[in-house]
Amino acid sequence: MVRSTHSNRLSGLILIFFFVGSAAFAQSDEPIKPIPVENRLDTRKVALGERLFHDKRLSKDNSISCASCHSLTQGGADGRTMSIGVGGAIGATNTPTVFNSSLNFRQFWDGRANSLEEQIDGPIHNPKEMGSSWAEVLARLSKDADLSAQFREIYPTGLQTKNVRDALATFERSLLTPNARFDKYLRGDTKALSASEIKGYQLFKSYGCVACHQGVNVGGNMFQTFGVMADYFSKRGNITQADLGRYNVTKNEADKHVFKVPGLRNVALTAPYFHDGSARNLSEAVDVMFKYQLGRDAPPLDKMLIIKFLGTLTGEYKGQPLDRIEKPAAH
Amino acid sequence: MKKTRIIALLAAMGLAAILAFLVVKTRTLGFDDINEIVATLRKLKQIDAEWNVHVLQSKTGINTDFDQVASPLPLIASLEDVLQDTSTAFWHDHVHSNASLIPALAQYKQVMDKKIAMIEHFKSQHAIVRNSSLFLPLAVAELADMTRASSIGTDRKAQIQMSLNTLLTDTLIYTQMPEQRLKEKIGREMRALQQQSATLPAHMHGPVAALIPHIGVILIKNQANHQLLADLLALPTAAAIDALTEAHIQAHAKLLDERQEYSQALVVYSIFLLLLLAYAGVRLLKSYQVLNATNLALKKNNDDLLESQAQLVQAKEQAEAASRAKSDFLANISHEIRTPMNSVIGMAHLALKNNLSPKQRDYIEKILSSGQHLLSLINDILDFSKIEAGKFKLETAAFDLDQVMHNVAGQVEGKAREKTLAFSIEMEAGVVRRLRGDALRLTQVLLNLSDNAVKFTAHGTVIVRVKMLEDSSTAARLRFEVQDSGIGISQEQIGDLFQSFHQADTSITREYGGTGLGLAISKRLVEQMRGEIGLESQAGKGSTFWFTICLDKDLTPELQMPAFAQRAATGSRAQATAPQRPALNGASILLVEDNSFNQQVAREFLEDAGAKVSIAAHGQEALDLMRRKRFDCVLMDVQMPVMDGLEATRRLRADPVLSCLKVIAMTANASDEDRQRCFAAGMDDFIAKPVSPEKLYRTLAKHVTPLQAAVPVAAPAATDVSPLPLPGDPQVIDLGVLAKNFENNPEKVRKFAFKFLNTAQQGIHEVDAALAQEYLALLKALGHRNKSSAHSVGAIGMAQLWQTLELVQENGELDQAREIVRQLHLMLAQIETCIASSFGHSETPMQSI
Repeated sequence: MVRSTHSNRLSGLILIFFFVGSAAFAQSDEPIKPIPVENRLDTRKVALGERLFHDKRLSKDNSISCASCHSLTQGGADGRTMSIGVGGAIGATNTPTVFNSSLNFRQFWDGRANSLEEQIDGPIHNPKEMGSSWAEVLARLSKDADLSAQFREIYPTGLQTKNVRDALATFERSLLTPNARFDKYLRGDTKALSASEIKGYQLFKSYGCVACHQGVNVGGNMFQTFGVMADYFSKRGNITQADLGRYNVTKNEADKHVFKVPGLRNVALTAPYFHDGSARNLSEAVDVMFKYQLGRDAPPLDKMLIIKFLGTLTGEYKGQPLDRIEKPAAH
Repeated sequence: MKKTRIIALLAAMGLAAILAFLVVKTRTLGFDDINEIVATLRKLKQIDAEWNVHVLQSKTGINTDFDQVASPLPLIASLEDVLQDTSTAFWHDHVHSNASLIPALAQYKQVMDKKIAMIEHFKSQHAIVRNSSLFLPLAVAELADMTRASSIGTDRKAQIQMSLNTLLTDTLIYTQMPEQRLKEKIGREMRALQQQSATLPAHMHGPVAALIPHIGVILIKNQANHQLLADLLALPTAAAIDALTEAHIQAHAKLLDERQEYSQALVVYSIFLLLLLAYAGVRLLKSYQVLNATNLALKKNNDDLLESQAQLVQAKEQAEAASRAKSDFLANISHEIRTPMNSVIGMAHLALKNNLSPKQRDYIEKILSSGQHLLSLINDILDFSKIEAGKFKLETAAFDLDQVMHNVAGQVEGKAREKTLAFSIEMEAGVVRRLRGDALRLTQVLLNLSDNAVKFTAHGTVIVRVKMLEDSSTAARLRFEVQDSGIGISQEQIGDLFQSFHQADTSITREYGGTGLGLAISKRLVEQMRGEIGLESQAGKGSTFWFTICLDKDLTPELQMPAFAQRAATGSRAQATAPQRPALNGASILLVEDNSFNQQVAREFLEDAGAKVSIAAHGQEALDLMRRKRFDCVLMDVQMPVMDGLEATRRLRADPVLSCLKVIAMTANASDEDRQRCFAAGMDDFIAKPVSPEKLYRTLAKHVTPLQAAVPVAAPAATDVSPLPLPGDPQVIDLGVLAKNFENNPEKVRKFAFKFLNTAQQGIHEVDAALAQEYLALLKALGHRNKSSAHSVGAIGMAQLWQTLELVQENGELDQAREIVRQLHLMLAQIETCIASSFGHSETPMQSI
């Protein structure tokens, strides 16, 4: 049993490995790769995970669901600088989008979770988020006969922590946003982008943004120090524990202020930006990036073109463009 | 036996446990598992190698993104999970073999974690170095343009452009050839440029300053990243994986060696077990042979036993048959002797009536007394043999204790008087009179003891006492005592007294006669009546024989008991209130009876109770009557000419119109068997003759619902209800019985006395006629028919004669019948005298006495 699960996972990962490899050959000239359109997942698990994703019983006081902060109608985040958890607690970092999170090589700003399954434990236990525990969650959920039955249908072991994690993670893996105009462009549809957007992409590459924001998720596959060319934090002031970033995980001096490079997919929809939510819009974010990460300046026109390009990274979810997604009545 | 079995069981379990242990130790050692572990490690090694390639491709720019560099991470984690799980599962039972694995695993983990961290670091640095390296030429070119366009002197321009070019070239060379000297030279050039920039126009200060950190990045981070890459590629991850693989293989080999040892042990142990089993088999075979032999012996024994058991059963049956035959023979013989003895006695009586010489008289008297003695002896033997044969059964019927005591007194008083002994009966207050049981046998016991008392008492008194011992709602325990002032019995003699054929002194038999069975019979009877019998005596001072018996109370309602019964029960001499007749008012009753006297008596009783009575002389007549008229109840005699009561009842039950009619048997044949025959024929109840009004009413009350409520009836004419002082010798006629049945009504008593006389005379006429024709069957029928009427009036002697006639064998014995008829004549004469002396002639009214 254990072994078969492993081998399934292993073969799945090897498939991805080859896919990524072959994609690299096909479009080796471009540092950004389109999101695969096909997504093979167990639809029953996805449905169950979606149900759980919107289930407020996962939080201590039944007030917060995953979707409370990762709203699928707001680009997979909530538009707040810091999110509000149970009892009005203010979170320590800005909520990253849940869309395409499966494309991140690690989860959280500091990359402390190696997988989506591991990530889920974070918000469940974080007193500033859901403030709950698996024991509490299971106790509450097990009172729901219908939900328990749905679990039993899918998992031989029924309603269990492991299976809640699996269902949620499977749902999150379904939250890919393919078919962005830029992806269509990458696939050869030269008309998918306007001239200025293509110019923006050229600038994105030539200014060096792409040194970090590359790959399928336009980021999300490496760590980088925030403030490479200048000291962002002394300039901003008011340094918090969360500002130490990766250091909080490794306790390595070199990892101070190191964060996971966020993916820029759907970035036009996920303001405010950075782990501290300090950039209210893309213009501010691009300014900060130029100053502290690239150590140079650029003409406002170039920045504007880059922002235009970033707008082409907005993809589709369930066949709908993410910026025009309608709020489902049920949720 | 049990202990050795437990030990054997424990031994077997121990042997099995050792076998199981060895089998577990030698079972196939998960080759699949070790193969998977090795395969996983090989895959890990391959991924690690590919990873290096991806990192190098990123470094050289072949890879423009880090997706490939990042992708092994989950793959490695997953492989490590597989390794962990498989390893854990596989090595779980082999901790001691795990020792070399733990350091190998730790070593691998450490190296791999380090590599992951270094690659992350490399990626970050690589991005920064890349950007600075790309930006530097652009920034230098821009500064050169700005310099050219500036207003400074041409020489200054050329100098600054030269400095910028040198700095750019040196930095680019450094990225390819990181030499310390060059690095120091670039440092100097940077400081020179910063100094020169002070003379440049202000708008150029910013770009120059911006250039510096990028050069810093290239100088420091580029070199550091080169080193980092070299270091991470040099990390011994492949060696660690190989070591881990080797450790697993070695551990497995060690296990295999271990298994080899256990395998050898298993082989040796198996051989041992086989030998043990073979030994056990041989022993089992031997013991089976022994067992077989034993079984054969046992079977033979068993057969012998069965045979002897069969013999015993046969012997028992033979013995029982012999005993039965003996009892039957005894009973038959006794019966056979009784009949001639009756003749002997009868003849003796007759002879004594003639004129005899004193000598002849003496002889005859001796014949008579010997005959009587012999008869009583035979009766005793008959009873006793019945009891011994288990054929004896007590009857259960309602009776009146007063009646029993009255009978006893009637039979003993005469004998006592002959010996001038005072005889009396003392009933204690509160003794229950209405009881259920065998009145005849109770009488027998009382007579036996009383006769003994009279027999063995020369002077003084014989007193019979009745006491109440216990009284419950349904039963009573009574004590009877017979006290005499006779010779008494010594303590030594008491012990054997109730044994069979025993008298206190063998000389007694000679002096007083008797079989010695009387007390033995009494004892058996009393015991059957759930009681005890005993004796308190002192030689010379008289004896008190006592016995106790338990009897059920007669619980049938005493409602509407005729007044005479109430008076008899209370012994009250006071004027009774107007007597209540039983509730038969208006009831229509069919009386089926062939004896005209009995017809009369029963009709009288029934009409007294307000019933309408129809009479049929036999069954056929009764059926005819019933089809014409409706009756509430039928009183059915059993033995009748033309059609007997049983047949009539069967036909009646088969007739749909009549089937629900109540039928009550009324017969002199009152044994349990007779009762059962009656009930089997479909009768509802049973009244034993002679019929008393009390008995009749009580039984009828159960079956007949009166049409009207009982009405008080005027008291009979005779207001003096004291018992009529009438002669009471049952051997002739006990007119007290009639008086009792007719409530001491002198008119009725007189009327029925004469009626009985008529019936008896007619019966004897008929008998004479039958005798003349030597028609024995008719004689027997007449005997039966007249028997009950004689009983009804208390003419017990005559009733016995009729009964004897009834029992006469049909095949001859005419002489015997003739003798009985002669005695009947004699008896009739005595009865005529008695009635005449009591009531005068039939036409004259009864004289008041």
